[in-house]
Amino acid sequence: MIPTRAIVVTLATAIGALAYSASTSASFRESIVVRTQSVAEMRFEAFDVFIDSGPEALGAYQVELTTPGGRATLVEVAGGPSAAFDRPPYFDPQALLGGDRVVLGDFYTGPDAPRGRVPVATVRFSIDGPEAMQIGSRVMVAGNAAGRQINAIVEVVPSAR
Amino acid sequence: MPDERTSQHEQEPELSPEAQNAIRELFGSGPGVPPEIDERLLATVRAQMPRHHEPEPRRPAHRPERRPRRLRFAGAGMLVAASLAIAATVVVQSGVLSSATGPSSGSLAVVPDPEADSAGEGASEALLDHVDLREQSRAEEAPASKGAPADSAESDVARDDDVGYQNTGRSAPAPASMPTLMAESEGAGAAIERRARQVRPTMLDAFRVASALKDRRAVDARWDVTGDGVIDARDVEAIAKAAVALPAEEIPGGAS
Repeated sequence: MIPTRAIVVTLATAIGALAYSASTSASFRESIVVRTQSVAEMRFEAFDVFIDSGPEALGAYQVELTTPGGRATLVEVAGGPSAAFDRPPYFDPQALLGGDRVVLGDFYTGPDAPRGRVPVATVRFSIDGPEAMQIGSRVMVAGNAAGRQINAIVEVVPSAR
Repeated sequence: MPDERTSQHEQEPELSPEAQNAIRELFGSGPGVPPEIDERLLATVRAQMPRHHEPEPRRPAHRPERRPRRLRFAGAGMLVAASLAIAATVVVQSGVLSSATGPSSGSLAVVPDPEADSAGEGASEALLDHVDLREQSRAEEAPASKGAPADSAESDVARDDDVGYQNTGRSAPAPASMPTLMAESEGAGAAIERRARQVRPTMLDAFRVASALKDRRAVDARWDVTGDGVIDARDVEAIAKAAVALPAEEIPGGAS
């Protein structure tokens, strides 16, 4: 005959194990998904980001890039070829962990701020799958060299570099 | 065997002859039982009955005394209750953690809050992390060529009445939407992170502060987001980082 104490201990252990597994299974699943992504299905694609400030000298910009679909992950943010914005813009490093949105921004207080279509940054994504990726973009704010808000246009095109 | 009988007889009280006779008169003598059968019956009964008169054998030292059944059930119930409590704690904690996790450094989103300015003493570890990372990365590059306010007298920035911080002086009031992201002690990170969420400066704000610093114009004291009593490049960095920070709910693994 099985002792009552043994039954109770077994049941208690089983309950505890079930609760623990329920609490941790989600994170395990996430890590498994990340690690089982096939390298063969991944590719990298770079895009140049342009801000067109028209006749105004570009003093500051802040743009939002979105990659709907969950197939793209930001892997690199670099500055543009423009002398004024040649260093990597500000962005939240958390965007490198995934997600479908990143905000880029920078400012320039030096002389001879660029005008017109200014290349301000290059972003690189790892893309899952062979399909072409669509990047959404919008200007959140832009300012001229005097600090006044201006209308500007953002353009994101595949990088030639 | 005679010894056992003797001892048994010694232990059992003998009836007096008068009592024996009275019982015989009352119930009769009854059928006689041969001594052998009587002996076997006694032996069988002795073998099956517990030996009350023998001393209880000593229990081994390692074997605990058996508890009454009721106490055993009580112990089992407590064990089950403790297990359920542990399981519930694990489940609750996992829920709390999952709702509270998420890198706080990316949680600088915003809604204006008038109470934020009065708190003033907190520090945002998240914001400071942004500052430190950015400063490290930019310190390796040429710091004064752009972005951070430089000491150079060169100025391409004109005065503009639309710019809130200009011409206000350090003691002048600032617009209500301006952030007060004081960052004095790392221990009060939660308070300042909350305040950083309440106001989202833009990159244009960072540019305006940087330009004012570069031109040596007065900057509103509320832009001292680092809380060190000085408005400098660190504050500009913090403002710029807060401008591009993602809300916590957009960060993978963050609060949902």
